[in-house]
Amino acid sequence: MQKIKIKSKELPKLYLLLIGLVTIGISSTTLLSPAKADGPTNGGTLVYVTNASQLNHLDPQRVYTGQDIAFLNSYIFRSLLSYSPVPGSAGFNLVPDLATDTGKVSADGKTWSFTLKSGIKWQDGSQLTCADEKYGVSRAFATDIITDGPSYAIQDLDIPQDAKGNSLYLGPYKKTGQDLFDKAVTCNGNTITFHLNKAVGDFNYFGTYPAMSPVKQSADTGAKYDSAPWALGPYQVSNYKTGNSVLDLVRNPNWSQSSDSVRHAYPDKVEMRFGINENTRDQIFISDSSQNAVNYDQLLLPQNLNNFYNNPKTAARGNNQNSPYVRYYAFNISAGHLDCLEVRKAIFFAWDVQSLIDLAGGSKFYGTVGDNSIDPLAPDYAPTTGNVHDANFKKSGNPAYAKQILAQAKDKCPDTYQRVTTQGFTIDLPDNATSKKATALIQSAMQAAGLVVHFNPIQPGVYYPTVQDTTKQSDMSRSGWAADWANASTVIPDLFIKNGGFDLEQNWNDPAYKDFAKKVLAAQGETNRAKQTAQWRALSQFVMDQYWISVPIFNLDQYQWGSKVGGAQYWLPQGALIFTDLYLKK
Amino acid sequence: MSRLLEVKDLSVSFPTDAGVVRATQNLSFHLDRGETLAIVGESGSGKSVSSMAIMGLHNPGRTEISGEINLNFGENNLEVVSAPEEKIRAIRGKNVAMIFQDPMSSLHPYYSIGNQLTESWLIHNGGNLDSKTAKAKAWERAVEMLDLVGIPDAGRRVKEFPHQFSGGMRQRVMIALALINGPDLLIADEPTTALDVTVQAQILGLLKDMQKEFNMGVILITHDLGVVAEVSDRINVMYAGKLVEEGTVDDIFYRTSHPYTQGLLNSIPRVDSGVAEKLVAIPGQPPSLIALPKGCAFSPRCEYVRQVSSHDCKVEIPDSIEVASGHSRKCFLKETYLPAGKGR
Amino acid sequence: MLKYIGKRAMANGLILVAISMITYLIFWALPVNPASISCGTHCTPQKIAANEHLLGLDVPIWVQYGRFVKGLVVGANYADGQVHCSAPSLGYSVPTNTCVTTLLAQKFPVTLSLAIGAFILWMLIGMSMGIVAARYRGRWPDKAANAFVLTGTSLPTFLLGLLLLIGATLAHWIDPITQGLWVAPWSDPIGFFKNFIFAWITLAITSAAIYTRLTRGSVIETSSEDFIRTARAKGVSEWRILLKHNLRTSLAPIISQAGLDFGGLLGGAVITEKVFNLQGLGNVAITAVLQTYDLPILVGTTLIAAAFYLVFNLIVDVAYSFLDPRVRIS
Repeated sequence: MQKIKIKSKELPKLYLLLIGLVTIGISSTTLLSPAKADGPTNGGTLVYVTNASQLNHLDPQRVYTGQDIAFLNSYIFRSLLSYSPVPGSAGFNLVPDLATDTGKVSADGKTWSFTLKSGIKWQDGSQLTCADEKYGVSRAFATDIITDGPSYAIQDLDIPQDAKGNSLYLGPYKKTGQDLFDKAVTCNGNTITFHLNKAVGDFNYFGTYPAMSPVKQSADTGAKYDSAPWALGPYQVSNYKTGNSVLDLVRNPNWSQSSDSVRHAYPDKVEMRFGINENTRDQIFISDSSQNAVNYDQLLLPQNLNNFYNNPKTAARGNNQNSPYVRYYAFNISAGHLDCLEVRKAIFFAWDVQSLIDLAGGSKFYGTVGDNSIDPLAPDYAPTTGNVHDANFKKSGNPAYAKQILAQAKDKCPDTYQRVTTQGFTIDLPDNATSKKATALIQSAMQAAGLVVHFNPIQPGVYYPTVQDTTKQSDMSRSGWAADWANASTVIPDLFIKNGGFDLEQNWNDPAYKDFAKKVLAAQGETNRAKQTAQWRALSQFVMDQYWISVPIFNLDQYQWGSKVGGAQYWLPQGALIFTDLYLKK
Repeated sequence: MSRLLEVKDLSVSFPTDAGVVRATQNLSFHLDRGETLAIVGESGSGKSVSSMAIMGLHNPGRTEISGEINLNFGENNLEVVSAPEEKIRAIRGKNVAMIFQDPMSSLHPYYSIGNQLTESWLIHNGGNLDSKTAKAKAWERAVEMLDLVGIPDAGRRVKEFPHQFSGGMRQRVMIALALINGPDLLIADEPTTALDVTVQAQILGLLKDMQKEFNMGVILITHDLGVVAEVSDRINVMYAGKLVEEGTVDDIFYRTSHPYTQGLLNSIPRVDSGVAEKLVAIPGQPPSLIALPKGCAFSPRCEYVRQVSSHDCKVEIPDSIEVASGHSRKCFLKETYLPAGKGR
Repeated sequence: MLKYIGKRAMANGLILVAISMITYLIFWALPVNPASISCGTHCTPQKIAANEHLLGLDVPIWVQYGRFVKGLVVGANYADGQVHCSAPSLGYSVPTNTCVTTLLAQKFPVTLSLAIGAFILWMLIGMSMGIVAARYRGRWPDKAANAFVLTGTSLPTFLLGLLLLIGATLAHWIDPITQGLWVAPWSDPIGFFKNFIFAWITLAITSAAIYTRLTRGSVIETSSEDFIRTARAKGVSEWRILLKHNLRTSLAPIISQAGLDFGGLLGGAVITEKVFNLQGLGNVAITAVLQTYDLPILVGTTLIAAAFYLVFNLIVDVAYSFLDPRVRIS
């Protein structure tokens, strides 16, 4: 899941000051009611607020953002499996949801089957069938209508592809190649079986995705399903028009607690309010003016963060933790770009990562200096050696050491050395105000080490499509990634294997690549989870040793809620609150 | 019996950023009922300023006025300079009326002439401006007035707008507007300047008729001596804010006593001589009213300055001297009368 | 008069056609491909091509424009034939899954309510302050009005709006959670009023300052006209001169400005709608530009805004003729 956070409004300083003064003045006079310690209770209206103008998608096969997945799975959708809805690393455990168990895999790892629980009903009272599950999965293949969703089903299911890599099955609307799909996915009573084109040891993790959840064919409205999906979960959509600033959820009368071991259904109503002004949003939580509200933006404006978290009374209504995101700049190591290890290393050590962190909100709220492409929350994470643990590494850059390394590059790869010290190298950035400030910091750090740097600002909307185009990518590209599930199989192959989906390194002609790719393939097929973990750790150490990425930043995120909201805990695998646990205090 | 209008020592000046504009200085004159006084002079000589002062139309915040303007209408006498605005407003349009040079711009383009005429009548007679009976009466009166000033088909045309009238007709409307309340004093500020020559005579004739009809005192302000001769009883000649010569029409035309009056006469074609004459313009420009020349204000343009030996025209200011009864001038020249028709 | 209006309406129609063409050309010339925005992580050229087909961008620009015009006249099918929008169709918005005409019709009452309320407020404040300032020219009411003009015109809308929004939120005058949710004035008049009042004030203050200046200037200019002197010579009181003789003439420049401003406002007040979370045309347009790159919505909102602008231009001209009898007859 990549995402760029674009601050839509970069505000003049005077105005910030004004708002700050108003804020301080008012909040210091506001009395906060002490939190009551009661158990979860039913009733009330829970309100999520966000500055965003809409949810990207409501169609289960099109949702692909961590928090949206957690939200919709908690309230409207149900999928084959779920992460255990508990805080801490126990949350990474898979538990059955629609399925009776966490899936059965064949010995060769190429066939997965799940049996659906009986007695589960759609919002209209009709029974959920295996055909509904099969139909839901098939929708992902209609890529002209079902856009933006994950493509694991297309990649992994045993359906032939043409020379260009396009599936020969075009989805349930056109029905071209329907027989191919019917062979790959079969229903036998209540048991659905997926036939894969390769061994995928962790295919069941994909079962937690709404993309793998059922859709009833008779209710499918194609493109329009995105604004009115049918519910299997405890709530159903009562009012949602995109761009209408509100999503209202009411209880689904046909959901029963007895059939669902994952979800609660505490509030009577769940609402989401879009387009709330960022300053107003922050005031809601600082002054606790809407006591049943939860901030869905996972942040406050930088000037309000200290205000909120330094006051113990407000801080008790918020959290602050590592998010699943790792942010970095990808080195393009193909020939003619940064194809020299010493040059990359010199840039790595000259990099003033601390200033970039401070620019974005500081070590306390934005992120910390990392040592891995895998997020520290993930079970496959282990600290690496070298890189930021090197005695010569300084968080604000070590230009003297960078110059020493660069001197080695002069002998080993004179052409690249010549280029980065005279003509210079270029960095791709999304064209927004924060990036513009970052360029100045990067420029001065590079200059100090004798490197010449240029910048290529790209319009945010087309940033990733542009840098993913191998002919358009510059020498370095700003990037970020979060694992799709709790396995580095959704990190290392995605980021560092050709056509992995988000491969910005262009490393496939590097002499070290062939061996690396072989090891990645082996790790993907490994069904022994402990062995697999060891393999991923070795591979991520290799990535760092090769300096394929710049100094990583382990991202932080924050939630805030009103004093009437109870049960707020962080769900590690989803990078979101355990939404289903939230209730309203009496 | 006291006079209809008695102006004493009237001075009007406007303080501006560039200095004080002395529009008129120590002006004194009078007017009786049934009499027509012409005030003649170049533009900027102070003739319009003094008539505006009589109407009490100067903005008190931006004008300094001293002297006296006594109006005597029988029952309500008024000294305009010191009177409060409400009292002046009560006589404005009722006892004292005014018509202006450009009848097009002086009538409101958006209202029918009936509307404009009735408003004037209603303000001074109607009491309640919105009462239906008063309005009906006012419209009757408006039609009557239009008829009186010679507008054909007045009953229909009263509903029309100013732009639907010709220039001469518009001035007739203006006259009707001024006379609707039967004023005692009418000030006509260049009433014919903007009109065709043929129409000019009609309007002057109308004014004369109206004067008889209403027994008004009329002040006729003009720069055109030709107009003056036909209708005036007496003439005041003004230069740079001062009255330089006053007398009867005959005094001014045939016993010209001031070099400036002579210059004015030389600059108009004379109808009665029958001989083609050369018209002579007065050399130079009128002085700035902010920085008046020392001595006689006309001296820089006066060709007689060297003939004056008793005084230095460029230093001393001449007082008013009575040349004959009712005929006076402000000039140091020894000769009482100047030859008419020839300047030099 | 009718013939004149007819002629003008024809001309306006042609202008709208030109504007729609230019809008199309501009977006066609931009280096951004909307198809690649919604492409997602595993973006391939095939996916982009599929997206282009879905968005109807896989045909030459003139064919796209032709389809647009056809949709406007007889309606059209979109998204690979899945969706039908009936005439007059301004296109289909993929990110919001709606026909643009339907979407804009939904948003219009919000923008209309915002526009009417703000317009009434600013005309009342602006004109009365302008009249008083002109009447007491150079004295304290004039100086106070001048201070208001300077403050009002130098205060950016977004700053004023934000200060009002935050102030009203902290004072519990508005509930930020429900602020901006549309309630019809006939179903909940108080809720409607609360929803809009601060947005009205925000828009009104800046504009009222402009109208104060405009009214004052126009009234002062008219006061030197000959017919004002005539009225004074008639003995008409100063207030009556101001309100009857002066104002009617002074209205001309105010009306032409007001007509265009109101017409412009009906196209959507982007900043104010955004700040107060009002779901009007301006909010739709800004989302379409900044976030979703939604070409049909952009074309639709541009055309609507232009149409209102032109219509009110015409209305202003007609209004003139009621004001000025010289125009009425000729």
